[in-house]
Amino acid sequence: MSTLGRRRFVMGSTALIGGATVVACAAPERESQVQSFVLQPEQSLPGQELWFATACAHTSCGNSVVVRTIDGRAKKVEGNPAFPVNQGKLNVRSQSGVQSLYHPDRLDTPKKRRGLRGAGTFNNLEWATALDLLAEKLSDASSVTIITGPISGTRARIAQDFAGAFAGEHLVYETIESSVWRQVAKAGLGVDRLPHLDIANAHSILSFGADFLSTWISPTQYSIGYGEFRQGAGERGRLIQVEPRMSTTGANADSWVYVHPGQEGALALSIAQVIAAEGLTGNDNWFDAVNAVGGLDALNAYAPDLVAERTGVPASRIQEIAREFASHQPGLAIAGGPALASANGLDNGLAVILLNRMVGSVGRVGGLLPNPGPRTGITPPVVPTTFEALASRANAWLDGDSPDVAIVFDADPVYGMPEATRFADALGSIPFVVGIGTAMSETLGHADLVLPATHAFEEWGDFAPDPMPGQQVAGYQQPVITPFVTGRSFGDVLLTAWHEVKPETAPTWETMRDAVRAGAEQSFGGSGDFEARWIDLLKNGGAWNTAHGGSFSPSQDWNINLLAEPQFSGDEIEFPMHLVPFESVALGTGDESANPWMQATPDPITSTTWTTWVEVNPKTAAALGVTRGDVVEIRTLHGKFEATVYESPVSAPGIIGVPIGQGHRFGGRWREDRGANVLAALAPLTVAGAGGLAWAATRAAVTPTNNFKQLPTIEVVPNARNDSEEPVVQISHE
Amino acid sequence: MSSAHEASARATAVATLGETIPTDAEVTPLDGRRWGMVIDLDRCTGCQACVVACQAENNIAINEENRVLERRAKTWIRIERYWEGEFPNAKARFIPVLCQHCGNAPCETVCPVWATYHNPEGLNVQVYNRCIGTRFCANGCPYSVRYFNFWNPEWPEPLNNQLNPDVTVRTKGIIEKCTFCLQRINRARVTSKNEDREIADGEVQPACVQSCPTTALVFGDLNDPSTTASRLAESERRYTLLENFGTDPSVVYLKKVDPHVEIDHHHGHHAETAGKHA
Repeated sequence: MSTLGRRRFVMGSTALIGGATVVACAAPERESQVQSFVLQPEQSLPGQELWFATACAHTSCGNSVVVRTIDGRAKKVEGNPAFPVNQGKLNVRSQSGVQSLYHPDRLDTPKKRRGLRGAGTFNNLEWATALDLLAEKLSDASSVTIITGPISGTRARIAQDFAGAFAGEHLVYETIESSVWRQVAKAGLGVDRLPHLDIANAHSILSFGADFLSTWISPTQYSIGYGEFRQGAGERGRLIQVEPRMSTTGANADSWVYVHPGQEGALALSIAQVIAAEGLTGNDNWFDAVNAVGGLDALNAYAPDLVAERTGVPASRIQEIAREFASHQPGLAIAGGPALASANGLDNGLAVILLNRMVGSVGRVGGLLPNPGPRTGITPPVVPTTFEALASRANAWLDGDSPDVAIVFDADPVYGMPEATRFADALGSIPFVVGIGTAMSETLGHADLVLPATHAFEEWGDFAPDPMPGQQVAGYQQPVITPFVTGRSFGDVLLTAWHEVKPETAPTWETMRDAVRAGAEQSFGGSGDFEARWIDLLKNGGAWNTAHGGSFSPSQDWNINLLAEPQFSGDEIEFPMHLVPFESVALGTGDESANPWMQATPDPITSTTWTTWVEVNPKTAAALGVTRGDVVEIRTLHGKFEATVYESPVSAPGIIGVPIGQGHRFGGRWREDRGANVLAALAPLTVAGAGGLAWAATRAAVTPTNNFKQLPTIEVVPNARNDSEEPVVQISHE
Repeated sequence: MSSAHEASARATAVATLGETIPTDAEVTPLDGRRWGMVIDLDRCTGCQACVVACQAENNIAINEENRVLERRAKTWIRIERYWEGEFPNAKARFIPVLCQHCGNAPCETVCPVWATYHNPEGLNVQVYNRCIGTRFCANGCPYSVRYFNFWNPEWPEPLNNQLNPDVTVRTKGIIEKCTFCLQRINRARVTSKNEDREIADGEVQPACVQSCPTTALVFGDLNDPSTTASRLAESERRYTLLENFGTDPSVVYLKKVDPHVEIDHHHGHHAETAGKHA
């Protein structure tokens, strides 16, 4: 296929005339329907490709995609070249959409539980019966809780309003939370929205644990900026990555710096101290920035000599980092991953914001820029419920204070919440649980009623990317094929039940399509015929403008003296290792693990596929008496699991890295009973002041099991080295 | 292979397959296009987006766990990772490796049935229905980018709906490899011909190139000095993989930039001092 440039895409889309009728007509209604060559569906010619712009997922992945369809079948997912967030590019996971669409184990009929909760035994139901049952339970309910993944737009509006109409609440669950970074933005920058990271125009990036090239927040958007940062028109940017376990971003850094877990804030303040002491910044206002958070005396307590042992970073190295960062401006300091997933994560993040202030990077090109809110009429992304809040709900439910009905969509808290929270039991205390999804999950396995959802490529929607790329963007989603199974979208299920049970409070629109279109008309209507604008919105995958918006209003509540020491679960003697879980580039937090492409996608660092491994420093492995392929038991205060050893020369002694994403009981042939779920064994510690799960604050003990499992790695020669005499990857100075 | 041997092999092949076998002069592009790729290792992050894009576009069989364990996984493009140094001064280096579409391809001369040959636009082409599965080409390839089908691929229904109708599904017993997304090149050729124009620079993007978030991969006509790929290929950072083998690859790499590594400019070597200088 030739390149899908904007011009070609628009031309192709124009030929479709656009919109719903085209999509509905382009696909055969049933798999078995025979197409007559004489009587073709409108716009459909055998073998002729059609491209449709839509969203890559139900939830706010933030990317817009174009899907190639042929004969009513989706064939390939590519980035929408016109969309400002991903600019035609696409990450690993978004490309696997066709596999979840045509997954052989996809849910295709409603199911009612017949065994114990969590046993995974169900009877099939007709849709009409299932909807009657849902309506009956909702009629009797005094309160209804809705749990979804991160959502925005019409879907979010319906969920929130529905919960309101049924005297309940809408909880948004994120397995790896953005809540701490959000709180850092709120407390440090005075904004409720995630800031835009102007990576493309930065000359240096000092990242504390944020794996922004792989999994953190908006990796496609950030990777596009990174390409420019490295080899764009300007000076080649310098990347310094500070973290306890080398991430994919760390592997790409010019300088990778190991720091003890939870000490990122102390290191950031020490770098700030060097910048101040050596007068490294040209920003005239640096002194005000320091004064606002405690003054120079407080900062001097973090002089490199004083924190070298605490952080694990030699004093000379701290000075070098400060000089490199400060001498390549504009510079951008960011915090994420384990830096924010410690009990003192909020402090760590705010210390990093101070660095930005000192070098003048708050609100300037090449630094942190404010993001505008969504366009009027488009519901902004719902602020995710913190781990602390969700755990609190679980406790209340266990104590008998539960809603009568819970509706769960596109979220898997039973998998992601540590077992110590007893979330599965808490869900079990709710009298009636409805799960809506395209495939079984741990949470749906605990539901009383399971409803098959339409796939993202089969339904209507809209979304506000989170974060936006420094400009106002609205994304639109349309069906690209006729639904392949008899699923219904989450929005349509809620609307149907709402009109059935409480018609007096129900909105005027009865379908998601009508709701999305009505919202679009409110946002983009104006005078004249809206139909042409509506088709344009669908054809382009959304609408955007070039205006930047919003502003920072820095708060001064935080003080250097408030930086707390990190807290960990488990004592050093019994649990000598720091357990650092990490999100897998392909499996995410497990949501994509049902797709074989994703299972077979090698982890960038270890090249491992299909299983759960544990990264161990070679000397640590030797001390434990284990080597590559040995299966070890990893035990924490709150659980245990098994993983296969990968001896990694970039692993720090005392640190073990374990990928998130495996260890499912439900979800189909490629996902079930494979590997282990590290999240289940984590301690239910929270990030003080932010409420997020401190997922990097659990200590562990590692014990050999005397079992061996060959690691399914793509690397043929274990730990191959870039030979300095004849390097495969050749190096240049500039 | 000696010229006498080559002539003999050609005579045998011609006797078997007829005069469709191209001569050396025909397979060596002189003044036409030479499709090629430039891979900037300073942009590449090893994110694997190209790997999945290729799997999706080219109907590559599912690499089940056993296939990976047997070292029989098929990845027309793969990201190789090499270590440098030891903790705490350790680094990981990434390099995407795919068929290099060599001008002097070792795989082409060993095929007894001319299933692999060099086309006039510089592509190393694998003709599936000629291949008899000797695997000589895979043995001859120094880049290990040719993959043998030990089994018929399976896509449990209805997963087969995702298959790209533009790309042949390869069966058991034959070799497959990267084609530079030949189907996309052909489509651009037809489109441009219908519109009575030349193929524009950037009009053809293999799936890997199209997906790459950092634009580390650039594709184009290396014989046209005006193309982006051609200009990038002249960079001072250019090198080719296993250059001393004399394979004349059509994939040009741009060196990873590392301001902290000591380079031996006399020998082109770099010392393993990665990370020692912050």
